[in-house]
Amino acid sequence: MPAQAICCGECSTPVPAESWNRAGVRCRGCGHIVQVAVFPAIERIRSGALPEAIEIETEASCFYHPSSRAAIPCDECGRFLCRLCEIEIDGRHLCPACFESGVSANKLNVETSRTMYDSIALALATLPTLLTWPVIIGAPAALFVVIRRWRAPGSIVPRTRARYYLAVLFVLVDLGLIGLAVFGIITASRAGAFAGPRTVVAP
Amino acid sequence: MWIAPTHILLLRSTRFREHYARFALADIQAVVITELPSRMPLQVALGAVAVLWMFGSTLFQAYTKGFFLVTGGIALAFVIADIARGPRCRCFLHTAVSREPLTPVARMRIARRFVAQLQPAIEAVQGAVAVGQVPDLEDRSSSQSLGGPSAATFDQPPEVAQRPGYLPETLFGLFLINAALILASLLIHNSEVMNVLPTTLFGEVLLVIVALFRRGSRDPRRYIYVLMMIVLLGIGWDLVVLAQSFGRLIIATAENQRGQPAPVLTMINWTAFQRGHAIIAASWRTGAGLIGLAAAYLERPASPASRAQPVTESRPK
Repeated sequence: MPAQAICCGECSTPVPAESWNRAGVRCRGCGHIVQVAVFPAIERIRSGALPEAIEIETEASCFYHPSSRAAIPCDECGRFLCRLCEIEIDGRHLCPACFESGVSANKLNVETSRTMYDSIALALATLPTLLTWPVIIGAPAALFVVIRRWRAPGSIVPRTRARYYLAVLFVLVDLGLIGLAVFGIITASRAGAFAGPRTVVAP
Repeated sequence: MWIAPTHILLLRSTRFREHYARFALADIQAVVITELPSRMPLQVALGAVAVLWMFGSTLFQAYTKGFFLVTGGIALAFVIADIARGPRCRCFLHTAVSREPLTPVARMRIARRFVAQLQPAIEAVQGAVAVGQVPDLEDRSSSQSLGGPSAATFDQPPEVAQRPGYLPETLFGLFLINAALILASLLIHNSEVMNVLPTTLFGEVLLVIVALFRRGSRDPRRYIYVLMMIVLLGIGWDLVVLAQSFGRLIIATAENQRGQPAPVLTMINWTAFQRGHAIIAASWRTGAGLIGLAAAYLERPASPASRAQPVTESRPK
């Protein structure tokens, strides 16, 4: 039996078994059309290690479940853990808290997410142009990300380096425009374009 | 969603970060698709509003006419695309330990394609269920739960609290930046600052609303969210004043185009706030930003590793 009953996605009313694997069925709660496809795995009971109850008072108990017998200590913090709480990874046994902190600190090889540095570089190279002046910060930042993270792993699904190449292209354009603007300002200032009005004294 | 010979991969992307979840085909117990009610009346109404917006261009000339036509056209295109994509649905994947919402499967057309592709793959691993066997599945699994251990008798593993993100800190930092920009607009009279200010003020509104909605059970901190609700009043007042000021600019621009005499008011000499209001706006933002950052830091829960204490002897009963 599934941990959570087969139910409607809108109102969470359980869908009876006679409606499984049938088309055009309506939910008894909200009346929306519900299609349920079930598979043989549904009849398998939950398998996995079960915690053992403490029989003798002096037995060591789990840190999180005082009524369950401790089976193994956490390799990181030393807390006693029952079979339900212990997480085995890379040959080590950890408690949930140490597992969570290990994943956060990238000490454990559990890759559930990746940062898309190519998208970040492209955004830094393009979005600041909407406001004009932030390009001065955005373009060098984009270039830094491209150089620093060129070898960083990209998405787990197939993806080309097109975003990196586009980011470099936009950065070159931005730097060119910044250079032109600086050149223009210098030229104009030399030509006296920014000088104040001159007062002419009559002879 | 990606399908492999032994599992499916659910990919959630925020453009800059991707999160992955894999589900073995042997573990999938059921797929539930619920068709949502049609939104045709709302879509038609929105389309009508978009068309009316485009007709508004007849009241203006040149640049303003183009603005109404382009924005109305874009809105109408979105409405037509939404209608063309078909009815919406919600899809859930059931395993022995979870009920996972499949957000990429949000349209019935996609859902039908998804099931058509997934079902043969699952049946190749698990085998198929005949129609007549389905009631027996529920009977067998019910009798097993009566005779054997049920989920209710198990202690559940401890829930590990998720650490809160840094959205509140970003918001309070933005308050400080906006306070600086508002003061700069008073002192410098620079059109670039005037162009940036509406964007950053809008960003404030967006971040506050997102932070309040996202808080849920993720963030145990309380006082910073109370502060956010209070600053909503200040933000609302500033937005009203900004809208009035911007409205005066639009009207002056429109009247200039018609050749009518109007005070010469352009983007170059436009100021978002009058002096008094600007000082108040900058002051409360500075205070809220500093207090918010301090409170966010002080209320932030310690990491699990720093809370862990080694247990060297058994607990006394």
